[in-house]
Amino acid sequence: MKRSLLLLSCFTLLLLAGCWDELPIDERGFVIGSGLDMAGKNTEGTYDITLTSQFVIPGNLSNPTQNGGREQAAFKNISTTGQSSFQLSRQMLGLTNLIPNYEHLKILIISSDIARDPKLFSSIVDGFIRDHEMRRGIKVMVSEGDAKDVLNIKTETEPLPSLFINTIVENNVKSLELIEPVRIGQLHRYLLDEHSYALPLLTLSKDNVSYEGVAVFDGKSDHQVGTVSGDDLKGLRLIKGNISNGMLLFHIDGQLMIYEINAAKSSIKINAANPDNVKISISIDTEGAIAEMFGGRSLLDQAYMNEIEKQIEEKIEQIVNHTVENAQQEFEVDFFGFSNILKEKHYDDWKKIKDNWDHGDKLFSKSTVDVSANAIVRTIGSSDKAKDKGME
Amino acid sequence: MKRFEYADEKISDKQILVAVPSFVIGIGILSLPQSIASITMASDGWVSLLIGGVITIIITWSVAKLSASFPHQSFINYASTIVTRPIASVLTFLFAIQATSITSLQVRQIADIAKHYLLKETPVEIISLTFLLLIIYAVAGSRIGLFRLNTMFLPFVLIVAAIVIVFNINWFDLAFLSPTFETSFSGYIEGVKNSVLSYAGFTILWFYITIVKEPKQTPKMAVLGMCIPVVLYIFLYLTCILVFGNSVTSNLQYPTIELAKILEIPGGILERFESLFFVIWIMAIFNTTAMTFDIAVLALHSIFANVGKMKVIFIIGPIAYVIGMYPQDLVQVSIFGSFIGYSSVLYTVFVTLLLFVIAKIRRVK
Repeated sequence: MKRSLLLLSCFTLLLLAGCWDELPIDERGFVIGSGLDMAGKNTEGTYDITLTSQFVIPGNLSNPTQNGGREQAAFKNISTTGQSSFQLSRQMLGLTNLIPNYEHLKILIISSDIARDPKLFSSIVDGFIRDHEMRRGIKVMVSEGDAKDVLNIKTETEPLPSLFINTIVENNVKSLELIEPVRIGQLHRYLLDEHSYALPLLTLSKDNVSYEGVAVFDGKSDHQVGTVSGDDLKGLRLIKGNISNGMLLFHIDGQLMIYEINAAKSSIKINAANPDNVKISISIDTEGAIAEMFGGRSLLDQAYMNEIEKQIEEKIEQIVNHTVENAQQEFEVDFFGFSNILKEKHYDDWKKIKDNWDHGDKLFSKSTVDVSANAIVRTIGSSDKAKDKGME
Repeated sequence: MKRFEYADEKISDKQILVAVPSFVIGIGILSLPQSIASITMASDGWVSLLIGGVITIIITWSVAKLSASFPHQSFINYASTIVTRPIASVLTFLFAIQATSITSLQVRQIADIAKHYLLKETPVEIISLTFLLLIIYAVAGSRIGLFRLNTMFLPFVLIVAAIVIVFNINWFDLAFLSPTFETSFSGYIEGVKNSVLSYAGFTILWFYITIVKEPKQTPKMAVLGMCIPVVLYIFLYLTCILVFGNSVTSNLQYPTIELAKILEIPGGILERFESLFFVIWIMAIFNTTAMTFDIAVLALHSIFANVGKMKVIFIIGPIAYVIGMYPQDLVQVSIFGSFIGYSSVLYTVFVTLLLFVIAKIRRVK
């Protein structure tokens, strides 16, 4: 009995010692950023895609000036071309001694060549949503220019381009001209739903990258239909509401003045009783301070303050109206989320118009949008004026 | 080998209160939000879950009431007094078959999930075998031990579920709740069906109430126990909807696991919460499986009283393994799963009605 027990326990040692899935950490290559580019169109209608993956080289990260002071890059970009993103990530095995690990993937950049193709965009993202190794928090963005080059930018402040971009898209707090980062989990919903949407757009200029616009996508066919930036993007943010920081330039008495928004809310009411003329009324409430002024008048004057607030309101209305008109006439898609509100609050009306909202009859383009803003200037900063009137 | 012996093989009715939720909470909830969301609009699925829960609680109460009215008698004994010994044996045998197939289904599903998320290279056969051997080890010991494990594990399971809900609150988007009550009637019915199947845990009541010391309060305890998964499932379902929205929830294979994956505990204390979630949830599934296996053993053992318990275990073990390995792919596993779900609910309702009616006719007390 005892001997057989001993034998049995020796035997179990054989089974228990091994692990099928063990993989030493130094054999893994951590990918922190991926980019997808169009490589070409085949004659059979299929596409060739280039996947670029950015591998971290941990040794160079902590100690970048090894080898006699010559700077070593802390990353290595590997590109490979094929037809599906999964196939590509497997092909990568042949190009590096490391086994790619996507669990720490932070950003996915898709070039606008892919984004503009109706068939390709959603299919190519599928692999990134389906693979369980990928997390739903990956930030997705579109790049004007090759994603490969975006991943190769040189930055002095951050050794890894992917992390640099990751921080840029998160720095939207202070600006009205940027949108919240879009995560792949959210994109999954955008692809499944038929509402139109916007993704952050990176622009490549020489060796640097800048983030100053969004790519607008058609919700039904899921492809990029245009880009929005500058004041129009401010309009989009103001319609969406929920702003905690941002600034607005306006003119008063021919002088420039800057209004810093500390909080902004919007409320949207839609009357869809008549499908051919849907009435959308947006009211925007903002609160903020005067951040900078070019003129020399005292701000401690109630009448002048009222005038300033009126100017701000007019400016907001003008911006928002222009944004909406542009969307209605140029892109003909509703990326403001009006269709979401219709579906959530006016489901019966939505059922009637959903096929013709930004498709078919384009009811969105025919709808009337009415904007009213209410701006409050809470404070004027620490000084009343920095120059006297004599300067004018 | 010396085994620790407990004072008596009896449990208190509080242990039934713990055993019912431990039995019900398991693999089902990992995918339940998906099946409910795909047939209802926006957040309407909670209605189905609630109605399904009420139906389940009613069935639970009747089964517990029936069993508790024959204190200290095993199922086969009181069934024999009602419907004669041969029929009672057949009924018990069917329960044994059912419990065996539930065991194999659980073993297979846990292996599939573990392979998908944790052990990519390890074959399903090996994961299942390891898990089944562990179950056999648990069942081979004392039955009271199982109940103590339940009491030990359940708080952790509930805490982990609570963490998943609470720490996802900053992802909540209330807009996903509307439009409300736009689901068609057939959608609700379909949802109720799915939720009843996922709550199904009556089998344990037939067998475990017989070892309760004082079964007077047991029906109340069973109902209370049943309320725990009903409330938990509704909350987890709503969390999925609030975080992902209906369209994504209905397209994720295991929405509850995805919830654990996106969860971020403030301060970056724990970034990979899903690993902890898996550990705890596998404990929950372990409890479920160990109890089903034990019931299969208990049922067979009560028919063939002169065969030793270990022999019964080693007969059922390989059979459960083979059945579990038979389905080839995910679709077959899910067909197998829904077949077992239906049969267990229908069979329980059938046996309850049968025993109830015949007991009334023959005036068995």
